Amino acid sequence: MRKIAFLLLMACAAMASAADFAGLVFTDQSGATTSVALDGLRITFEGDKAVVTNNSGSVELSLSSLASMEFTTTLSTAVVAVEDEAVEVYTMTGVRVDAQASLAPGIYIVKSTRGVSKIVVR
Amino acid sequence: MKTWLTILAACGCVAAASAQTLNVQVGNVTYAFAAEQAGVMPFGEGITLTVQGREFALADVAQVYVDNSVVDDNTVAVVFEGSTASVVVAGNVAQYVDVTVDGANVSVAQSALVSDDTCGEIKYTLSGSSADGSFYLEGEFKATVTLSDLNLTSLSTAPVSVKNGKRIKFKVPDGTASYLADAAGGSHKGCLACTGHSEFSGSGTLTIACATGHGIYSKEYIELKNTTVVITSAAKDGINCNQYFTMTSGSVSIDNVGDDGLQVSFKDDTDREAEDTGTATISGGSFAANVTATAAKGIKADGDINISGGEFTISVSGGGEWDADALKTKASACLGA
Repeated sequence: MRKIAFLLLMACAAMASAADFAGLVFTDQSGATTSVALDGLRITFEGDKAVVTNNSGSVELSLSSLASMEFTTTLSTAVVAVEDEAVEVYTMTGVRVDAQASLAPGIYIVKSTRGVSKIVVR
Repeated sequence: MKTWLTILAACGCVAAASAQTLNVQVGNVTYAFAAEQAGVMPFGEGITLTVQGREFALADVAQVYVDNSVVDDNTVAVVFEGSTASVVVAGNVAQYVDVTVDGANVSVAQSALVSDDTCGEIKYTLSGSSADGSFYLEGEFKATVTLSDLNLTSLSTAPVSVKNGKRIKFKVPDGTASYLADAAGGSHKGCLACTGHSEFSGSGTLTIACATGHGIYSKEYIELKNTTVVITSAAKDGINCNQYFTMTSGSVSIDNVGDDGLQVSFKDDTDREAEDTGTATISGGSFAANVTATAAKGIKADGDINISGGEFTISVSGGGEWDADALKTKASACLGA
């Protein structure tokens, strides 16, 4: 009975994970992409800019070069920082990694002036 | 048993929490797109964004945001809030409806492309309250309009008006009470006016006070089942329709009307379709009418009046008059066919 219950819960969790999107990926005319996590995501259009904000910060994208956006289940770059804000990214074992590089799937600790948070890159 | 219920509840919570919705807000209208349906959303030359076939001018978009709200497909929800109204349009029908909101006046144009081959029937829900607002819907495919605890008065037009020659379901859900009222001097035919086939259902209550025309007007038939309709006043008939009127259950109460309680007329003078019988058929429920206008009828029909069930309380007191045009005397009567 307990085994059946456990398997059911794992199946439900797997279904939920498969349906959840992690972020929005913006693609420009050259094919370059910018991924933004969905937490608190909000987009406004100001002049020729798309201002994309989430709970981690914001980024401005040029509307004239934007081609499309779509939901994604994986984020190539999980961190969105305010311009010029110092951001440090560490692995769970305490090794610091390049915040601007594509992060391999895993769990990371992100430190900024806004505080410390744990992120999951799938 | 408790264990299974816990597991089921947990699965339900997990499933509900996974809903993700992209909301595009344009003024008081929010277009809610399910994330799994959105697909690739192209930007057009920096001035437009297209989501599920709906093109938005970025200059009109107040914001785009993502949340965990759940919006059922094929729905348009209108909430009246005093001097304004807000509308949420399900993403899968966003390209098929044009919504404008002017104060608390909401106008919806349903595309001619709406059909069983595209999105199917769209369901509109009206709720909230306004002392001067209205809902207007035009289209060419059947639709459902649900009145859910709606309290709507219009000072200039019909509070609810549907210009659509197809089948329109007016749902009044059980446990809800809706009120419609208008002002005198308008040009609308009824407080609730429909140019199509009107089918009332749901065990809730709809109360109407109409100062301009009929309480309820339908250009084609009216079918009533379970609903409680209370016409507290009307400048003309309490209920006026063409083709036929049928009532199988529910309750109708009509008072303070300027003409007949219920009038059923032929739609066409000649070459009538089979259903254009001008007949009132009541087989259940309760029907009460207090008619005081001169020569007015409790129930008036161009065709037959068929009564096979139900409870009736009809009072007329308007007396008679000479009709100089028809050269005959007209008299008030409980039933006139």
